[in-house]
This record gives sequence, structure tokens and C-alpha cells, in this order.
Amino acid sequence: MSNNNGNYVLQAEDMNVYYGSFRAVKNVNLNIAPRAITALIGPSGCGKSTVLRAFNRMNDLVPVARTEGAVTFHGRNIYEPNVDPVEVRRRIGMVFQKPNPFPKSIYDNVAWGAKLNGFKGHMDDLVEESLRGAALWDEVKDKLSQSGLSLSGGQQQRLCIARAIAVKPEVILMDEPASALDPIATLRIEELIQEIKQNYTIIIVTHNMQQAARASDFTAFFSVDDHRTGMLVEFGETNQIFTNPHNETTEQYITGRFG
Amino acid sequence: MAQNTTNGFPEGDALQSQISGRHLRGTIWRIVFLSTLILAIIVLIILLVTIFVDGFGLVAVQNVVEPESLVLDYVETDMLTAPDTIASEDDNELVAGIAGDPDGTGFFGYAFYANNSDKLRLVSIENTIPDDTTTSDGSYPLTRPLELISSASVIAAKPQVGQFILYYLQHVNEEIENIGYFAIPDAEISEIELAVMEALGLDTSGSVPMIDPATVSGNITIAGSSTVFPLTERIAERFKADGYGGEINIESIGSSAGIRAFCVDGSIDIANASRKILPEERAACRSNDRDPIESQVGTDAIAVVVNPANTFADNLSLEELGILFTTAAVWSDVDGSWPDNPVHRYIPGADSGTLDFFASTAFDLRLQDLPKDALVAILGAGITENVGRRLEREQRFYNNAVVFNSAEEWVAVCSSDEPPAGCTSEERSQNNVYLLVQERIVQPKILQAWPLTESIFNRQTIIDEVGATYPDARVEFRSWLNRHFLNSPTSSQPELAGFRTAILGSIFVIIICILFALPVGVGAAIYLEEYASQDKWYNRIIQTNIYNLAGVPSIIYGMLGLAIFVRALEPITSGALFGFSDAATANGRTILSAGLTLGLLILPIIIINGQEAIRAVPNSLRQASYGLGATKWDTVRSHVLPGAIPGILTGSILAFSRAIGETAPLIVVGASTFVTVDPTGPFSKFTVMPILIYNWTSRPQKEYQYLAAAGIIILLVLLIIMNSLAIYLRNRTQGKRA
Ligand SMILES: Nc1ncnc2c1ncn2[C@@H]1O[C@H](COP(=O)(O)OP(=O)(O)OP(=O)(O)O)[C@@H](O)[C@H]1O
Ligand SMILES: [Mg+2]
Repeated sequence: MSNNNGNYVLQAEDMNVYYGSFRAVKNVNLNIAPRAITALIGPSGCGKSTVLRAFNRMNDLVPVARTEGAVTFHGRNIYEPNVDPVEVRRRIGMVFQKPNPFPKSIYDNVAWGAKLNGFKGHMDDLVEESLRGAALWDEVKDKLSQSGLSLSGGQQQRLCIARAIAVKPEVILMDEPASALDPIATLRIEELIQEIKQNYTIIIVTHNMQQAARASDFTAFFSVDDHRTGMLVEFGETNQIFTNPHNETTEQYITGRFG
Repeated sequence: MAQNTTNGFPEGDALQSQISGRHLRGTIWRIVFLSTLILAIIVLIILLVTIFVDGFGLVAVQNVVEPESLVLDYVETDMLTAPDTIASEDDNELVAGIAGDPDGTGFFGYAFYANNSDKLRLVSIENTIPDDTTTSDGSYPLTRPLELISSASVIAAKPQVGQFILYYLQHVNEEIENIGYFAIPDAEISEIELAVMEALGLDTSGSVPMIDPATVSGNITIAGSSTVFPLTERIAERFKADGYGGEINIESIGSSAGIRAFCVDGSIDIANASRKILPEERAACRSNDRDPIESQVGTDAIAVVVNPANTFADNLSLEELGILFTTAAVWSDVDGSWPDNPVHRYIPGADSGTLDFFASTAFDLRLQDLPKDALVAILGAGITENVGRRLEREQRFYNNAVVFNSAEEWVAVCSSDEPPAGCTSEERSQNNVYLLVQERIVQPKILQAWPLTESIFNRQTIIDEVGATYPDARVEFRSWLNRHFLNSPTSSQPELAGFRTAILGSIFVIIICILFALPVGVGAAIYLEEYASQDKWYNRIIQTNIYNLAGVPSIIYGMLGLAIFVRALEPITSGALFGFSDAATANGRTILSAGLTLGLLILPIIIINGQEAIRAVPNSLRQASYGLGATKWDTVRSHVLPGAIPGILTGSILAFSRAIGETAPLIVVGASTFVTVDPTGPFSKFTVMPILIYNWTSRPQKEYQYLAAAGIIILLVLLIIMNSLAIYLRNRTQGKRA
């Protein structure tokens, strides 16, 4: 496709998302690099989650939501009419703010998506591999048939990550994955994200500045205009954003003087 | 704490009173809620108690034929038809027979043994020999009391009756040996005398005055037992000889007739009886102001004897006695250690009271214990040939023999195009035949019934009342909810009516209702929740209408069902289209129509409840599912439905239990009230539990009200089971989600 410069997995081009008549984000242009962690930060209500969900068409599930502009995945606009959102989501997985394991066994939580997507290999191996990938294997290997809901919050979130990586997506979208967790569990999730970055492209929304600074390679800072419409203010390497922000609002935000 | 209000909020005392004011309001509401709860519980308890009270209680039952007499007939026939049995009404013949036959045995009144004790040997029964002691204390089993029955009211009106009874008691022991009966000890006689004197209002503190018949005048009429007759006659002779100037008239008409004449007809002054008066008879007496006084004057006993040459038969148990006089061919059949000599029986004839006496005391048999063959014979003797043939065609009595149909006839019906069920059925069991005998021969009729409370608190009044109104009836406790009730169809006789067709009808109807309403309702709920867009005006209209439909009175659904299922779709609902049509129900008033109508009735409830259950599945699960690349159907199938099913079931079960209790729409759809054949499928005509209950309560006979109560109990039990299932399902899911 025309706009594909080969280096970027995902690109938002002049993306606008509306909820009914309300424009939630405007004119977002964002390039996501492969096998890297891109953090989305910004004040509450500025549209981070909206942008994140736009990347795998989860906004389709909101009846009033409408997306304009293009989001290309390997150069192909995922909003073209002939693109099936099911395939998009199969390639671009998602981990949510609140852990939401299925009320099934730990094993089935991981295996369900794979089975659904026609996985033909050895399921036990895949489950183990995914749970190891989410650094959960050692804790649950003896109780795979127990309900996923019987785990602690942090374990549940890692189970959700295992579930997401079990279908071998290319990109994993994470919306404040550690916000419901205590600092230790948060740290574990952060470490985990660092590890899986070897194999996956990760986009993560976070309110935690240290987290963004510590854990990400790129940072996108969003803010709102006078109509409370979200917009991308500044995007760059995390180092640069946190040490030498070009934009004044960015600087105010990361130093805690705004937001 | 500062007293003043600085920041707009009360402080100090004001704060405290503000808080306690809120507490007070809370407490008041709590009391209000508690009282509403208590009210609800009281109403419920009253409801349950009312139903329960009607379901159980005393009934007055009168049998057309008493089961005891059937058993007695059976036993006597068994005895009289046993091999080597000579029966005679003349006791002298029996004595002579046994005396001249070394293998002979027999029984008769003790008097005859006493007169011939040199030619016979007495056998002890249960290791007891009859004498004054063992007969009066009852340790010798083959005894019966000899009684005079009168009452204080009679004696008050006719003092000569009391005088005669006292005279009788004072002299009976001088005569009784001669008649051949056993005396009761003098001490007991004195007690009885005292009781009579008390009833006469005489002073009982001093010694009993000897009666001088010369001072007695006025006539006396006596009737009753033929056994007591000779004794009474003897005493009457003495009474006259001692100077009595009046007339004593004594008749031998049997104990029961004597008691009836005394209690009910009031035509005699004293009844002779060779048994105790029964509670019902006592009640009948009482209600005619003849509260009976029983005076035992002696004891009759049966002597079982053998030829003196028989040295082995010293003692018989009651069981051995039964065998000896029925089935035993040789003596060793009775006791293995006895020789193989044949048994030759000499017993009183069929018309003899002694045979009845022996048969009723020596055998402890109830009607339900009789062998099947005997029951079949009893049945055959009491029903018409036609009824017998019909019963046999419904279900045969024996697999390899016919009883009521001739063999040719049987072959003919069984090879016809539509052979009756009896041709291939399993043979009737002993219990089945027993029930037929109950229904067709014994024919217990419930004459009157009382609710539980009355039965408990007014028991005596009820018994007295029954005695007065129905002297032949028996008062017994009856649970209207019994096996027969569950197993029988309704009937125009309350004692035979059952709930079976209604139970089956309800089950069939509810199955159709479930098969229709559950899939349709849940499907609609899934569509509305998961697929239909709430932005579209038509979806909103549908949703609103479903809410409205849930509130439509059930009778309207009945009319809808009548118009659609019974009339418009008649070819389908009557089964005609499928060739299933039943001649009796060649219209749409079938189980199918009823089930579909009830299905329509609860469909809105199932849909709304299903939507609630689906909505209760957390959205995060749907998102998680979509996030993994699931389609809508994947998500619905794997997460939404499994999560919603317990809720759907809970609500649906409650809806179905509502449907089970519905009456109005089914009346409109044309439920039959009087159905005696079980429903066989969706195209049968039907009745259901609430309709039969409704029908019963509107009948004039009071007994149906008790049947209705029993039906309500069944319905309630079913509802409780269904609701418990719903609660169980709900708890189980809550446990899972926690
Ligand atoms: N389903 C929805 N329908 C209507 N408006 C929505 C919906 N979801 C979000 N919005 C609006 O879109 C704007 C952006 O919301 P979004 O959830 O993307 O913000 P956010 O940056 O993720 O905020 P936070 O940091 O608080 O999560 C907000 O003004 C919000 O009110
Ligand atoms: Mg958000």
C-alpha cells in the first residue's frame, strides 16, 4: 500500500473518532514502530483509550462511535469496508485495564482463543508456552483446571496477557494494564512487558509517568483543545519526551504541573 | 466539639440530634418492613393451615360388604371344603364321630366337651386349657364374653330391668356350669353388680341387697345372641319360679341384631351379646339416650378335642390350629414330629355360630392377606359377568387362564383388529385384585367427612353423631392425599376420585409449554440484547410491546389461544393433519393448544427475564472475547449464553411454575373437567391440576372440598420443588461468580 514506508507496523493517518456528534480525538497521526513499546500518556479524558481502541477497531463495539481517516496495519487501512474486524483483532490483541478472565479454567482461558482461531498444533504446549510468556506458569502449573477467577488480581492480569499472546498477535494493545494492581504486581507486569517486547509490538496507555519513562521506547502525549477534543501534542522517543520536551504543555504535564 | 455551627453543618448537640433523628426514622421503617414481613408470613401460614386442615380428617365410612365377613366366608369355606372333613350342625354327631375315630379331631362349645369328657381328649391351645381363670383373663384364645347390655335410662324407666340384671348376676354362677359356659370370678361379678347399682342410683356403700323377684313387677323384653339365650332363659325361669309376676320375652336373633334393636330401634330392654359392644354401636346407643352398660355374665369357650387314642396332639398353637383345620392332610403336616396318620375333621356346620366364632378367633387374616385366587373368587361372586369380562379385557387376571371370558371368546377378541389391553398385559397382581375387591365388593362409601381441626377437637362428638346417623358406619382417620388419590382418575364418587389425569395433564401441558416458550423466548432475548440495535425505532417498539404483553391479563391469552390454536390451527392442534386425530377429541381443544397458549402467556416473561440475564453478563467478558478475534456468535455462544443460562433457567422455572397454576386461559381454551383416561400425547383432551381443583371445589358434595385440598397440596409441593430448583440454580451461579 502507498503509505507504507516499511518500518512501521501501525500508522494512524488524520484519524478522527466521534462518539455521536462529539469529536473525541482529532487529526491524530501516529506511527508505531515494530517490537517496541509505545506509551500513550495524557490527562484524563483526552482520548488515549479511544485512540488505542481505534487500532484494533474495538470502537466498533460502541454503537455511536465513528472513525474517520485511516489506520494502516502493514500499509493496509483496517477501516476499509472489505476488512473484517475479526481478523484485525486476531492480529492486534488487547489487554484491558481491569483483569477480565473468562469464568472458565485457567487452561481454557488461554486455550479458548487459540481453539477459536483454528490452532492446529499441540494445545498443552501452547498453553504452557503462553503462561510462561506471561510469567505465570510456575504459579499455576498445578491448578490449570481451577477457575481463572480464583487467581489474585495481578495473576489474573498476567493470565489475560497469556491469553492475548496465545493467539500469536503481532501487536498487543494495553489500556492501563497495571492500574488496578499494587506496586509489586505493577512491577512484575512492567518486567513482563519488557520481556515480551522481543516478540511483540506493544502500545500501552498509562497514567504513571515513571512507568512510561522506565518502560517505553516511544511516548505520545495527548491533550485536549477548547472543545475537549483530544489531540496528539507531541510524539517522540521516550528519552527525548521526558528529558527535552519540545512542547510546553508536555513539559508541564510530565513535571506534574498540569493534568 | 464546638456548639456553634461554623461551616453550614450542625455540630455538637445539633449533630447528635440530627443523627439520632436519622436513626429513629430508620428504626421506624425497619418496624414497618418487619410488620409487613410478619403479615406476609401469617397470611401464608393461614393459607397452608387451611389447606392442610382440609386434606386430612375423620370420615364416616360404610362398607356395602364388610371385609371381615369376606374373610370369614373364605376361612369357613376353606375349612368346610378341606378333605376328610365332616360338618354337622348336631354337636352330638361330632362327639360320636371323634369318639369313634382314632384319627378324629374337632371342636365345639366347651359344654359338649364337658358332657363327654370321658370319650374325648382336650387339646390345649397356646399351652392353655380353658377353665374359669384362663377364660376370664383371656389367656385361652378361643373365648368370647357373654354380656347383657342395657342402660341407666332404660333401668330408670323400668326398674324391673335393673332388678332382673341384678338377680341375673347374683345367680348366674349357680347355673352357668350347667349350661356349659365358664363363670367369671365372684369378685368380678360383685364389681359388675356395683356398677349396675350405681347406674340405678342405688346406695353402693353397704352390701348388695338380694333381689326378691316376688317384689318385682312389669314386663321385660330381651333379644340377641343365640349363645347367651339358654343362660338367660334359665335365669328367667328361676326368676319366675322365685315369684316374679311379669312377663319376660326372650328372643334369639344374634348379637348384632340384638344391639341394634336395643340401641337404634329401642324396642328391647336388654340385649344379649356374645361379644363386646363396638365403639360405633356405643355411639349409636348414646345418641338415642341409651348410654350402654355392659354386664358380663360369663365366658364361652371352644374346646378343641381329639380321640383319646391320639396321644401326641397335646397342644396346638393358633397357627397350627389354622393348619389343622384347613390344609393338613396328615398329622405330621401340623407338627413334623407327629405321625403320618390322616387327619379326620369333625366340625360344626356352615350355619353354626360356633364355626363363625372359631373362624374369627383362630385365624388372624385380613382381606388384603388372602391369596389372589380367593380374591378373584370373591370378586367373581360379587360382580356381573359383563363387568368381569370388561375387567379381564382391561387387564387379565392370569397369564395362562381366563376367568370371566370363555376361552373361545378370549381367542376371538384377542385376534380381532384392535385387541384389548388385557390380551397382552401382565396379569393382575394380588394387590390389584384386592383393590378391585375393595372397589367393587366392599365398596366403602364415605358418608361424611370432617376437617382436621374438628377431627382433633370434636372427636367424640363426631363419633356420637355418626353412631346416631349411620349405625353401620365406622369412623376412621383418612388422609385424602393417598396412593389411591395419586393413582386414580377423577370420579363421580368422592371416595374413588383421584388426581392422576390432572397430574399427567399438567405435566404434558407444561412440557409443551417449555418446548415452545423456552427456545422462542431465549432466542428472542438473545436477538434483542445482542443483535438488535436500540437506535432503531422498530426495535424499541418491539421491546416496549414485550413489556406491555407481560402485563396483559391471562384470560386474554386464553382468548388468543382459542382463536389461534383451537380454531385457526385446528387441523394441526387436533392432530388431524398428521392423522393422529382421536375420535373423542376431533377438535383443537388438546394438550398441544393448552401448552402453546400457556407458552404465549409466559413468553414475554421469559424474554424479559432472558434479557436481564444476558445483560447481567459483564461487558468486559464480551470485550475480552472480541479482543481475541472472536466473532459475535463466538462470543454469544461461549461467554454470553453460558453466563446467562443459570439466570435464564431461574426466571424460566418461576415462569413455568406460574403457568402450572394457571386456570383461566385453559378454561377458555377448553380444558375438560371430567377426564378419566390418561392423556397419551399432544392431541389428547386434557385437564390440569388447577382446573380439576376448581371443578372439585364447585361441586355440591362436601367430600370434594377435601379432595381439592389434597390436590392443592400436590400442586404446592410441585411448585415448591420448582422454586427450590430455581433458588438452587441461582445460589450455584452466585457461588461461581463470586
Ligand atoms: N462510549 C463512549 N460514548 C460516548 N463518549 C465516550 C465514550 N467513551 C469515551 N467517550 C468520551 O471520549 C472522550 C475520550 O475518552 P477516553 O476514554 O478515550 O479518554 P482517556 O484518555 O482514556 O481517559 P482516562 O485517562 O480517564 O481513561 C471523553 O470525553 C469521553 O467522555
Ligand atoms: Mg482510558
